[in-house]
Amino acid sequence: MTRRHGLCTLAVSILALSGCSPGGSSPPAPGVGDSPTSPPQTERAAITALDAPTFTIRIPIALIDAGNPPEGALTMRAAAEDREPEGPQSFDVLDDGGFLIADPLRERLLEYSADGTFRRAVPIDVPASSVTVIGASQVEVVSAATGVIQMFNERGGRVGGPRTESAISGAGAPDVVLDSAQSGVITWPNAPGALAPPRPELKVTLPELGQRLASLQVIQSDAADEVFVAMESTDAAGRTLIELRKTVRRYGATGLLEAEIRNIAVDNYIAPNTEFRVLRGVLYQMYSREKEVLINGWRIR
Amino acid sequence: MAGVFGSPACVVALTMVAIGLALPCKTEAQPLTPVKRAEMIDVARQMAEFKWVPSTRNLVAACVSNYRTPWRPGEAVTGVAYDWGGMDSLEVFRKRLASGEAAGSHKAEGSTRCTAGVDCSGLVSLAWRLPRKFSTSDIQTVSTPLNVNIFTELKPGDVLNKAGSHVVIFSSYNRDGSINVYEAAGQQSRVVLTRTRWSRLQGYVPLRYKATTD
Repeated sequence: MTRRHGLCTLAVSILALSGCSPGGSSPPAPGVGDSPTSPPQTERAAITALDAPTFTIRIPIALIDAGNPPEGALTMRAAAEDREPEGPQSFDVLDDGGFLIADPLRERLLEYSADGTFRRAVPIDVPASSVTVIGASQVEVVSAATGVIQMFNERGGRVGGPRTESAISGAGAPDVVLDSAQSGVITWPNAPGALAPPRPELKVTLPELGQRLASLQVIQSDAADEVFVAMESTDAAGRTLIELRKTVRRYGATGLLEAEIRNIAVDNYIAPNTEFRVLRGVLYQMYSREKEVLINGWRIR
Repeated sequence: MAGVFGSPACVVALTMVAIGLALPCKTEAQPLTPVKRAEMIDVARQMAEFKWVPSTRNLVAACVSNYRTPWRPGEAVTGVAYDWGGMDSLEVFRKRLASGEAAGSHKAEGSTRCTAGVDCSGLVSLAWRLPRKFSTSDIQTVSTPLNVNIFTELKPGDVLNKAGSHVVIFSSYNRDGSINVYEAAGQQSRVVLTRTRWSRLQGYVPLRYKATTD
C-alpha cells in the first residue's frame, strides 16, 4: 500500500502518446487554453486529444444480500424503486500502479494489482465513502455513515483519533470560479512563507459554440507543475433534462493546454465520490456498472 | 323489461352507480398546501443537521430479517437516518428512537414498520408538506417540469428527480458550477447536504412544487 507523494515532473513539450484512440495529435481549437501566461495561439504546441481509455481494469461486484460474495469481489446493494444502488464510490492508486477500492458494505478496503488481480482485503470498521492513500503506509477514510475522517495503517489499524478535517485538504487549494457561460478561472493562493510567487491564474475556455460550461474542477495541481482539470459541459442549454459531457484537460506549468480527454463516460451505475486520480501522468477514472467497477486509464504523457 | 332491471347483475350495477354518485371521487385532487421556499429548506436543513446518538436498541430491527446497521452504539451521527419507504418528520423520528425502534433501513423487501427515518422522496414530501408520501414516480402530479436554465435559474426548494430512482432538493449554486443539494442518501445512511457535480445527476429532471410561494 505505497504511493509516491506529490507530483511527478512533467516535460512541457509536444506529447507523444502510445495506445491512443482516434485523433492522436490535433491542432488546438480556437479559444482553447486562453491563459494570461500562455503564448500566442500560433506559438502553441499541438495538443493531444483522446477519447477511449488507454486501458481498462475490471473488478467484479457481487450483491451483498445474495449469500457469500467472493473475497476478492466488491459488494453492492442493487437499486430498487426510490432507492439508488449502494456500493463502492471511492478509490486511489498505489505507487506501483495497483488500486485501493473502498468496499463500504463490508467495511473494508480491497487492494488490487495494476492488472486487476485481487491482492488482499484490509478490514476497517468504517463504511468508507472516500479513501485516499497518504504516504507509504496510511490511508485516510471518510465514513459514509457519520462523515468522520479516520486514518488507518496498512493492516487496518486506526492511526490517531477521528477528525473532522482532512489531512490532505489544505490552505493551498485553488479557487475555481466560472466567470462566464463558457469559461472559468482558477487561481492559487499565496503559500504562507513562500518566496516564489503563486502560480499565475489559469483561464479555461470551452471552444465549442453553443456549449455551456456547467462546472469546473481541479483534479490535481502543483504550483510548479501541471494542472489537471475536469469540465462538465452541455449543449442542451440545461433545460428539462440534465445531459452532460465530461472532459479532462492537462495544462502545463506555463498554462499551455497540452492534452484533452473528451467524451468521458458519465452514466455511472453507482455515482462515485472520487472519480479521478492522477499518478505519473496517467489519469485514472472509477466508473461503475451493474456488475463491475471499471478503472479506466489514459496515458497522457 | 322489469325482469331485466330486477336481475341480480343489474341491482349490483345500479347500486354501484348510486354509491359512485353519493361518494366523492377518489381521484379528486386535494388542495396543495402553499409552502415558502425558506420553509422547504428549513425542513431539509433541520433533518440534515439533526444530531443523535444511537442506543443498542436503535441498532436492531426485529421486523427486518438480516438487519444491518452502519452505526455503533454511542456513535455521534448527524442527519436523520435513511429509511427506505420512510417519511418520519423530525419529531416522529426522535420519538421513535426514544421508544427503541431501529434507526433506518436499506432493505428493499419486507416490512420496515419497526424502523424509523426517511427516504429520498419522503424527505421531499415532508419539505413540500404533501398530504402523503409521493414517490419519485408520482411526484410529477404535484409539481411542474422546469423549462429554465438549470445551471443558473434553479431556486431553493426545487428538486432534481429521476423517476424510480432518486430525488434531491436543490439548495444553492457554488462558484465552480457544482451545486448543494439536500438528500436522504442511502449511500450515507442519512439525510445530508451534499456538494455534487452535475454528472451525478445525469438524466434527472428539474421540478418545482406547484404550490410554491416565494
